Amino acid sequence: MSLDVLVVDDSPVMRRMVKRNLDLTGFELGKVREAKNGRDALDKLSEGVVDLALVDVNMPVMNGIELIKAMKNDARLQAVPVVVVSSEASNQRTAEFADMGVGYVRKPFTPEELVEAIIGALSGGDHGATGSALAGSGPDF
Amino acid sequence: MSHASAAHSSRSGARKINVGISELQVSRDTNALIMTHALGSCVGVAIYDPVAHVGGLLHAQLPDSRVDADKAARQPAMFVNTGLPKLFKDAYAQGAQKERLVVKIAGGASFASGGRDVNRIGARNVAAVRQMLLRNRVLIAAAAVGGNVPRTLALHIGSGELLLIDDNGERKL
Amino acid sequence: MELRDQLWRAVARTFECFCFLVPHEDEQPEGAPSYAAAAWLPFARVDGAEVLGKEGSLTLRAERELLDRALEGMLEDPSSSSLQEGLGELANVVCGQVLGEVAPDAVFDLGSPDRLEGEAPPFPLDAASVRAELVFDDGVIEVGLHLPS
Repeated sequence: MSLDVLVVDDSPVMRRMVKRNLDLTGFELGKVREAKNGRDALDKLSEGVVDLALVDVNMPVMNGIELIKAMKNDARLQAVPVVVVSSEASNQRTAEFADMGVGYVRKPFTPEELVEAIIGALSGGDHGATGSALAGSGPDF
Repeated sequence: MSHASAAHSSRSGARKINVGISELQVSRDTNALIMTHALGSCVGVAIYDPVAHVGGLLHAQLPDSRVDADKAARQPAMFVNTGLPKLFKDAYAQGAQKERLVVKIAGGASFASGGRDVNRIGARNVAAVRQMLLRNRVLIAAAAVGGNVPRTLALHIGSGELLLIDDNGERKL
Repeated sequence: MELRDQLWRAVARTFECFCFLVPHEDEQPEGAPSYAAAAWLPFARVDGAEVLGKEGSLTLRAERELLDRALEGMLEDPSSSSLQEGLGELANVVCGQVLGEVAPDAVFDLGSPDRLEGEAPPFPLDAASVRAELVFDDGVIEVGLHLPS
């Protein structure tokens, strides 16, 4: 079963970095879409629900907190696993993420930290994750 | 208890294969214990395929071979960027499969002389390993890096158990 | 730890983790660096303890070759991303790190990084500013925290 993912961040560089690390989860990836803020994310989600959303906090138009609240208030979206990927580091916000039942990875993250958070968020479901580290041949080995 | 005797007591009877500085070894002898001592600013990389029972250990001293391409040709294990590919390829040659390999790292410590570690070779070695592993789609299963203590690694090929020995004693990594 | 040290460490951690680049410890640039790009990021406290005042900004300036290396570390193929975009994101991460360490009980909103095209302006050195320079193999990064209130 393949994973459809939505990556939400106003930085195109960060969206690419997150996508690069998605490869390492060992999951089979389906559609990986991008959104540049919370409003854009909700528009994309209205086209189709995803299996995982990776969400930044500080974004213009609609930030990550507002997006997550909107998702939690939508019967169609409330069960979508969310991992916050943010430079956000206040104790208050960290507690808020835990209360909202979302995963959290702080920037700068190692690939291992992001993969662990994703696997944790998905652990309720069965996506055939191997949990193994390696996927495909690389440029050097 | 010295590092060497601590490892010996936990794996008596094993055939010890020593990996010196700027060296690497791969084995599929299930009775072998591949060891490397005194990982200071050097970085140690241990890989193990639990199905094929193939494992290897690299003890690299410097991050990038561009400082001495001739040396890298003669002694690839000296540098992370030439040693790491050789470690993996030697393991493949012995029957390891990439998607089964478990990869762990240790070392990259900082020993400031006079309170300063200007060049930070330890941190650079670790960064070089992390970068190359990421480029090649490999995650790190465990790491014991940084700090200011020397470390010893011992990889038992039969079980895949990796022992880390430092000033705090011996533990599985 | 002094604010300047915290600023230095935030940049060092960010570049080491995301870009695989390690700065030299305790070293000052030789001569005047030639910064090719700059990012300016405003922040405002929205909640929590008042430690750093109401608002401020972070500026990050980088030399060209260093920024090229940084982007190579961050992305497999950096060619389609601009240096400014990369620097802006690095500024965002550094800012979050610094604010989280200096004022963990405050909540800040970070603005979108303003990418300053062309020649990077000189950093406003005044009493309300804290500045640090990091020397890497491939060049220098300058980071500044401006706290007016």
